Amino acid sequence: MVLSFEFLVSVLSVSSLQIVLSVFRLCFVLLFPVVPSSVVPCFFLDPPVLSFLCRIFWKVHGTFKMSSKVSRETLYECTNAVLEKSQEKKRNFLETVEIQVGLKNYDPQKDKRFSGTVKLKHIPRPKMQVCVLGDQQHCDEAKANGVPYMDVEALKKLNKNKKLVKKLAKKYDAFLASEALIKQIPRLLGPGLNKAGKFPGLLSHQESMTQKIDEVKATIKFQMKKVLCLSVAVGHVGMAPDELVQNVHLSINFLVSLLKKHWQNVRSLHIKSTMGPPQRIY
Amino acid sequence: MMIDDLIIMPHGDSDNSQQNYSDSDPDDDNLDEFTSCTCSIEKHISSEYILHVTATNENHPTCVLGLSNYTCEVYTIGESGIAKVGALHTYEDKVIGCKFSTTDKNSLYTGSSDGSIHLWDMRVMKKPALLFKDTTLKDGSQMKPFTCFDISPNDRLLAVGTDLCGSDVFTLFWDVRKGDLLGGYWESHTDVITEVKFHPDDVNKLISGSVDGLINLYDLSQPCEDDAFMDSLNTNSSVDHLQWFKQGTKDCITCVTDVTSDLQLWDLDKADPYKHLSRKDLSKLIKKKKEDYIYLAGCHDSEGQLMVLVGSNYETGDCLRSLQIEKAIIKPHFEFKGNQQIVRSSSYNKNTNILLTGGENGILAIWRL
Repeated sequence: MVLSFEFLVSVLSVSSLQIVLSVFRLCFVLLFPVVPSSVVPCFFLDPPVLSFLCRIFWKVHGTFKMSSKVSRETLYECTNAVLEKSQEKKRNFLETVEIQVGLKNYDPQKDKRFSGTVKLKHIPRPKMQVCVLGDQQHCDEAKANGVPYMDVEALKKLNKNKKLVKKLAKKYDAFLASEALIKQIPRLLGPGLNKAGKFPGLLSHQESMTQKIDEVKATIKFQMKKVLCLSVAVGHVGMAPDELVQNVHLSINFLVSLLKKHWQNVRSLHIKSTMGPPQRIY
Repeated sequence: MMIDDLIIMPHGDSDNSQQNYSDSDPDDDNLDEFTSCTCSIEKHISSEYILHVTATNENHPTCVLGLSNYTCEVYTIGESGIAKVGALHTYEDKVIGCKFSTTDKNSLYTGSSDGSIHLWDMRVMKKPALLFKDTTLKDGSQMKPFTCFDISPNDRLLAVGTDLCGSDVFTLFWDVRKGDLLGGYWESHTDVITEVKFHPDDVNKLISGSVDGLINLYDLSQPCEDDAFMDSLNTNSSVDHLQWFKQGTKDCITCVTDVTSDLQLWDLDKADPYKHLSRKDLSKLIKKKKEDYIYLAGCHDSEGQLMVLVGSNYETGDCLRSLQIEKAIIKPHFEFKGNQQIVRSSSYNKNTNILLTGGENGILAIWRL
């Protein structure tokens, strides 16, 4: 049963209802392993029984899926608080929501510094501009999709001129390039894009351009420097609470998986908007 | 809303959302595919971490360790065991590496974040033969903390990568024979440089890897950075370690991306890695059921094959196994029985087939493969 549950969740693109059902099925089987599974379905029709089972299950298996350390309630509570605070006092810009992490049992002198990238479910920076440096086919595709693009000729015109390359790098937040072009970039543009931290990612012909652009927009980077804390932007105040909670949850899980001793390395977790007060979630 | 309580989170398409942190680290059943390897000699050296291990090419090598208390110590490994020869130097900051010269077994380089690289003559260990320092520093200007270094295969050139210095990071070059600072590059990376590596045969080729996720290839025969900057490989993560290896006649690079412990194999002609092993792939390959504790301990080139050391840092970190990669085929290789620590550095000699490992329990272990 456990296998089939995981299989359902991870492999099939199941609707949330099916997930609900399979979760119930699983907890039922865990609680009453002796009851033949043919009996299980009839319980699904009976909400009080369900509710009862869930409650017991929740008590027994509090750690299910979500790390035991942050409950879903706390997460929602804090996220909502952040959103409410930003509603109370509207700013002239779209506030970013970030998580701040304090670490412990971690010696920056001995232990490895770490950094890593993770792709979130919802795009945290919708205004991000991605420019495609494409071959003919990609340029046509970009044109059709209304994505800013440049071809080899346009890049050649920059003539390795530092000022022009810098200007180009400033204009966009990120770049994607076709395979044929990416290898020419050092020759055509010099290290200008590197200096701006915007060396393009690869855009292949096998993947969809818009999907790849969304992926770039949704990817965030964690990085710990010399101090025992780090923060990372995971969304903005214009997002629905559900979306924000999902992003926060995904980031926390990823971050904790990077730590050598997992939750034992986490001192605190806060969530806050650019101008708002921090809300402690752990 | 009990229903909501149970579906804790919608299941993202990333695997990370599906982890839980229950406390165990089971093996997969089938471990027979690994050749068992037992430790030939080991010794508890220090209560500090061993962060760097390097050794000479002999059958009974001299070994130099970089420890987490900012010192470098020298040991000899004989039939009877491991004996301490002496300590070299206590730095003011982290040791960033120790490397023997490829041409002269009596020359050793050690470096530290405090901004100094020393060249030692192993016959006269009392005092360093040469000191390489950033001589462009004026009073009050910020010191550039070094993070990594490498020596060219002909022993002429020293390359050093630095940490962020304001908003710049530098790759600096010294003439080894004169001890002069020749110059540096600072346009092609935006974050801490974690590794610089000379090509094992071609003196003019250098790769550098950085936290900004790029691997840059330079042609050092060119006069300035703009012309020397040959290629950039975007790993979309952060680079932790780099290693050259050969596949047929082609030059390839292995790249270990940071703590996420992905392994990427790049062909210099391509724009994306020809092989990418995620943490999950690695855990499957070394027959661990869960990926939560997997770390990459090292990569070594052995005659056209690649030896990849992968371990689990669960509890005491006893588990250490290796994989053999030949072209795109990956096979289980060794199980290191009796490993007692999380390995932080290893040194492998393909002629003598000796692997040295050092790690967080301060143990130096010698494995004859």
